[in-house]
Amino acid sequence: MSWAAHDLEPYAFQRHLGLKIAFVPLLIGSYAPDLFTKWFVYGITLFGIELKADDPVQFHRGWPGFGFTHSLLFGLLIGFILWKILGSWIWGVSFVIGHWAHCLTDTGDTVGTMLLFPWTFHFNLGAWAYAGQTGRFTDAAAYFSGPGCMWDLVWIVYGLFAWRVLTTEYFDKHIFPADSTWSWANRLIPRIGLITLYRAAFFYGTCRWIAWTIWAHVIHDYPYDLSWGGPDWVDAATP
Amino acid sequence: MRTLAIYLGAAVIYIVIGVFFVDFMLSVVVAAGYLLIAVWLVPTALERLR
Repeated sequence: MSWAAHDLEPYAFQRHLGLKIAFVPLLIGSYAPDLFTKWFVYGITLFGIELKADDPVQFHRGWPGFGFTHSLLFGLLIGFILWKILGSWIWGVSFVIGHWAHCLTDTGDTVGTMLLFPWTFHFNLGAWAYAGQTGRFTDAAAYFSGPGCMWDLVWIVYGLFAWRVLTTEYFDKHIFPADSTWSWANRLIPRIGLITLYRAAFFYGTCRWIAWTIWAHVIHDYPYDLSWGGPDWVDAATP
Repeated sequence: MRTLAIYLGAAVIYIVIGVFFVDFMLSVVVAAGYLLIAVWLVPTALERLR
C-alpha cells in the first residue's frame, strides 16, 4: 500500500489532462479502493469493542475479501454508475483514472492487487513491503523506511516541479470550469476557500510524508532499508 | 509570496502536531479542515481585526 502517492498522483494527472478531467472525482477515485476497508485492516476500537479483520491481508487485497476494490473492473463499474446517475461523462472518466492509478500504484508492494479480477492473480512488483497486518504504526515505520517512501517522494518532487497546477490562476482556468461541482460549492464557500480545498490533498500528502519520516527516523530509530522489497526488518506479507 | 508563506507556516505547524500526535494526520478530511482554518479563516479574521 502507499501512504502519500494516492494524495499526490491526481495533481500529476491534472497537469497533463487539464480541462479533460474533473479534479474532485479524480481525487475520490484515487482514494476509493481503500475508502471503506483501511480502518478494518488496522482495526479500531468502538465503545470498547475492537473491530479488526482476522486476516487483514486477505480482507484488504484478497478474494474472498475486498481485494476486488483494487481491480480495474471495479473502477470501471463505479465510473459507469457515476456517469449514468450523475449524467456526467467527465465525472465517470475522472473517477476511473484516479481509481486505476491507485490500483496500479499498489502493485508496487509485496502483496499487489488483483488488477484483472475476477481473475484472482495478484500482480505485484514486490518493490516495498506490505505490512498492513502489523498495525498502523509498524506499517508506517516500515513504509517510511523502505522504497515505498521513495516512490511517494517522486510524486512530491513531481508536484513541486509542476507547481503551476496549485496556483489560483490554474484553478480559475482549468479546475473550476471543468466541473460544475465547484460552482455549486461556490454558493456556500467563497473562491479562496475552494482553492484551499483544491490544494488540501497535496498539502496533506506532502506534510504527512515529512511528519511520518521525522516520526520514524528522528523520534524513533527505525533503520532505513531501501533495497527491493524492503525494509527487511518487517515481516512482509505476500499474496 | 504572502500566500506561500502562510501555507509554509501552516505546514510547519501541521507537521509538528503530526509528529507528536500522529492521529492528527490520519485523515485528509481533518487536514482539509485544518488548512481552511489556518490559511483562510485565521488570516481573514486577523485582517478584519486590523
